[in-house]
Amino acid sequence: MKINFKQILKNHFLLFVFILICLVGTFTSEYFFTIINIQNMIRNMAVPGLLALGVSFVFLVSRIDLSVGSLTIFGPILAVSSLAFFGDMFDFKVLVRGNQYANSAAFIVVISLLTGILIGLINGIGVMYGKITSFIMTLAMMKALWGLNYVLTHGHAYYLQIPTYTWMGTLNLFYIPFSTWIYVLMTILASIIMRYTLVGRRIYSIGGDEKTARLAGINVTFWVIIAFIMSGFCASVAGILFSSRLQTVDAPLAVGFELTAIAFAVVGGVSLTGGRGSPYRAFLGTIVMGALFSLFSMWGLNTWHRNIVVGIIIILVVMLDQRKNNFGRI
Amino acid sequence: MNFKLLNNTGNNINLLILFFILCCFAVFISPAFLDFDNIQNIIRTVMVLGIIAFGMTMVMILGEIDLSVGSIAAFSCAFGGLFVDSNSSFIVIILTLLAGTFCGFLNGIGVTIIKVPSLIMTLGTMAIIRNVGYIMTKGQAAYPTKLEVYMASAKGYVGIFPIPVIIFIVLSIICAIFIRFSTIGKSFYVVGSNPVASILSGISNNASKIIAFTVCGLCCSIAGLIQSARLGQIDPHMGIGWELTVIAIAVLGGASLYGGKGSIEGTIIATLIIGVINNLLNLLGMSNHSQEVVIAIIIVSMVLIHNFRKKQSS
Amino acid sequence: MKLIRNLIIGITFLFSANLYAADIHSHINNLIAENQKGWKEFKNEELGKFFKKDGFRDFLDVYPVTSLTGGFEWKPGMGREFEGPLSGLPIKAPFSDYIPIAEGPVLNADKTYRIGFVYHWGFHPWLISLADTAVYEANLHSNVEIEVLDAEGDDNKMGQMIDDFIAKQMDAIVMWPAREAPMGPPVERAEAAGIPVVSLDRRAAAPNISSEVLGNFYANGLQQGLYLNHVANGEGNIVMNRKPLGSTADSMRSGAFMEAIGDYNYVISESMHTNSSRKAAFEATQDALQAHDDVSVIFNTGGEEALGALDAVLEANRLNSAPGGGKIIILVNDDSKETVNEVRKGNMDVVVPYTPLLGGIGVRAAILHIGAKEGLNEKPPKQIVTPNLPMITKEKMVIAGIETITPDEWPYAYGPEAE
Repeated sequence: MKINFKQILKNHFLLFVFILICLVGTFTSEYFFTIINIQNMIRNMAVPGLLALGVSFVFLVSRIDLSVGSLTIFGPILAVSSLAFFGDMFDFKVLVRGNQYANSAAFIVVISLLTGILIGLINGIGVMYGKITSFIMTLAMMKALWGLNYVLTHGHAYYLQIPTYTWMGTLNLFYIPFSTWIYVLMTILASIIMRYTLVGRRIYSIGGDEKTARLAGINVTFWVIIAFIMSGFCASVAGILFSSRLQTVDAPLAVGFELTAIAFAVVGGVSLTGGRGSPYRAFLGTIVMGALFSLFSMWGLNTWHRNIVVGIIIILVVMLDQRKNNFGRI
Repeated sequence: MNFKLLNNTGNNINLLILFFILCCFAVFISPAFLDFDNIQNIIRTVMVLGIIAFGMTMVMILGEIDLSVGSIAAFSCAFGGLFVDSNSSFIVIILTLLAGTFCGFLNGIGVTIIKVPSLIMTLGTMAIIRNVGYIMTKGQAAYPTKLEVYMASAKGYVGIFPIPVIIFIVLSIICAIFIRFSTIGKSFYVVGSNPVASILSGISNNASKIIAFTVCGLCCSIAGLIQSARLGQIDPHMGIGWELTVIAIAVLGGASLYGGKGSIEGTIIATLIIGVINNLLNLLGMSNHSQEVVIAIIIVSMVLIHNFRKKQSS
Repeated sequence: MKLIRNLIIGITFLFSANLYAADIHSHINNLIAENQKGWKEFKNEELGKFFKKDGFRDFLDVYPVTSLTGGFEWKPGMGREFEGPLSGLPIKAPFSDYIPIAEGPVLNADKTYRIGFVYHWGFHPWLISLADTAVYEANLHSNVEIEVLDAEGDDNKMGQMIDDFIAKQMDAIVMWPAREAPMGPPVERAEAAGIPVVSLDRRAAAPNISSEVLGNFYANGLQQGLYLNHVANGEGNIVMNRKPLGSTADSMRSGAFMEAIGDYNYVISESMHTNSSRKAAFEATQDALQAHDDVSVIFNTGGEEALGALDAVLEANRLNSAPGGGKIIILVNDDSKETVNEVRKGNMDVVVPYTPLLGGIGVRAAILHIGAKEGLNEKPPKQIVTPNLPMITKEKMVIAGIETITPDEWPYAYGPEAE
């Protein structure tokens, strides 16, 4: 069997870019290829990577989800503040010394995940039943959640320093951070779902041509809502990992995360008009941008220059990818 | 060729009704609402986003989007601000407007000639343009307080009418006439709703888009200029988060992200509605953050009502 | 325990207040102690309720009010003049002689010491001046390198930048945390990795931090309150422009202000959080003026907020619209060149300096910590307070024993020239 190198290069182009960036990093900085830095790099990828993964599901059905940023911290905030509220009513201890959370970690995890699913469901219903453009629906949701974050926390931060929760932010299994494990496992799970199950087939059909899919009898409404729920779920997982690392939740956090997530997914090659892309593509976009960020840190590149380079790269990568895909409109 | 430009009229009437209801509600809550001062304030505050919304509406009619509006406003003013020491309002103003126009032009080229989808192009330029502004100014604000004409754009009066309000009205009229009556303006709707047909009919898609983005950039610089004059400070950090609010205004005014729809009149009314809502919520003493929630609910409700009425009529 | 501690401090200060407190720092500390209410109720019930609601007590109680390190005495006029390396602006830094380190190579002259400096918002005049003094100090020593990073308001990013400093094995970290809570874990990680961390101005929630350089938040709020009592005869309707709820900057200043005015007849008409944004303060003040036509005082916890509020007042032509036709009293902290100029023009009534020119102290403290690790010198104290600065008013006044400074006598204002 002849190995077609050109084909492999084309299909996994970004993987080679990633390796190239790592090589450049290793040769230009003595600290790049150290355990600490590699751990930092792959840990930093987890949260935006999960958001990009979630957003890519929505892209695949030709929609957009702008609410993932606010949703990330909304889950833990809702969990803590609702428990505090009931704690006041039924007289059990939730917060000590004003804002230190001192109750069950499992509660935060469960409520955050349920919240993610619920918000995704609401987004989906708004888009499919309310016939509101996904841009507007998820933009409104983003603003609403952002405001609610402040209202629920009264502008204070909640410290989540209970060991049963913070271990997620500090644990390394075989040197790989826990968050990275979760991210990779969820990506693999998503890939399997998209490639080998009914869910995947339906989503790709809808993304490819929604009218035809509908005529063919596919329940488009149902599957689009599923896509939004998957996005919300990924955002809530990201939120749990994020808050366990920071050991706090605070309303002003996670600003702009949705645009980063979109950028990562698009750089990876997930098409905005649906039908083209995969969890693997979102993963590729994430590792390339993640490696790039790490490289800039090692070089000590000034924040403003960093942002400019990132902007240029986003445009360039999509421009080069255009030869293969036709993105069309939103 | 038959294209429904007039769909907007129905939407605009809905908006006017909403606006009227909101104003009545506001007067009921706080009689001070109808003060000449208060109305002035509302317009002054919301016109900055409103002017940008005109440009955004044009871009959206063509089926594109511009996320870099805040950055263009910041950069163009920062660029002009570098020349404050020349003591000439005209140099600073001209350079500001030129910078904004140029940025818009860049966006247009990227979307048409280089064929990058506008969401990505403007996402990239959003970061690039703003940070170039930071680097050029070393992050520092400039103070145009000595430039009389510059400051007059926000603080001056012609008789009893504040100059910024006059600028807003004049711009609205110019943009509305452009979109409704000029060949280029009308072609935006064609390009936006039926790109294939527009090519066949000889209207250049690329030219339309470049023009729209360029005008949008110009609008951004005008808006930024007025904002800077109002605060007496040219802040390279201004404009963060403007893009999403402006898009919300445009959509409320009837523009669709898929193109082919929207009107300047609708955008004007939507702008005023948002201004009244903000003012109302402030008068009610609602915190900034609770306001975000309320505005989100209102936007969704508006769209739902609009969809409901469309379904009823069709 | 806390009560006893406060009692002891209070009594000590009361006694020392009877001695002639020649330097301004101790005098203001005395005033702070005098005005501390502890858990005593305010005489004005409404103000008392407001005070309790926002939880100022917790912040005020833990804030150190002590004497300067090494018995340093600060007098107006001290300090070095130079050009800011990042901004290019002329700076006169008041505290260059505080915890001094001689110019030239430090510690082991054969080694290069790398300091990581991380902060937010390099476009903000206060913050870039902070970075200016830090970089200037680093440049004075040929074997010290400093890397300046801007986390743009993202706490997560700042945490990641600190993690990157750890990976790059920096010798020390100097930081400006926007919020206390999220910065705790990264600082703890750095300290655990053996890298000394020094925080500037605001605090981080990290018990193991090597040093904190603290500004005089307490003196800010207090002096604004004392001034108001002096000129307003204990009556007025106050609109407040505040920084983010729950931040040290807001709670300390607002809390200290409330303590000073708590026993008098003031009314808080509005309390708004305008978060260091000129535009937000402008719009909020405009609405407040609209809603209340009897505003007589505007209290601001920051320079940008104050300038926005002043613009709103001027645009609405309300500068002299206090009840009785008097001027609205505008209380400000942050001595930027712009605000000091407004005092000179008579628009703002008092500016209490909150100088950002602390970066140098932080870098020096960091160098001393590195030196302590290498056994070359003693560790500097964990809490390094900066000298209390007297308020600036248009004409010279004496308020509660503090001799105020006129704008022309104050060379330390930061930021670009305004007019």
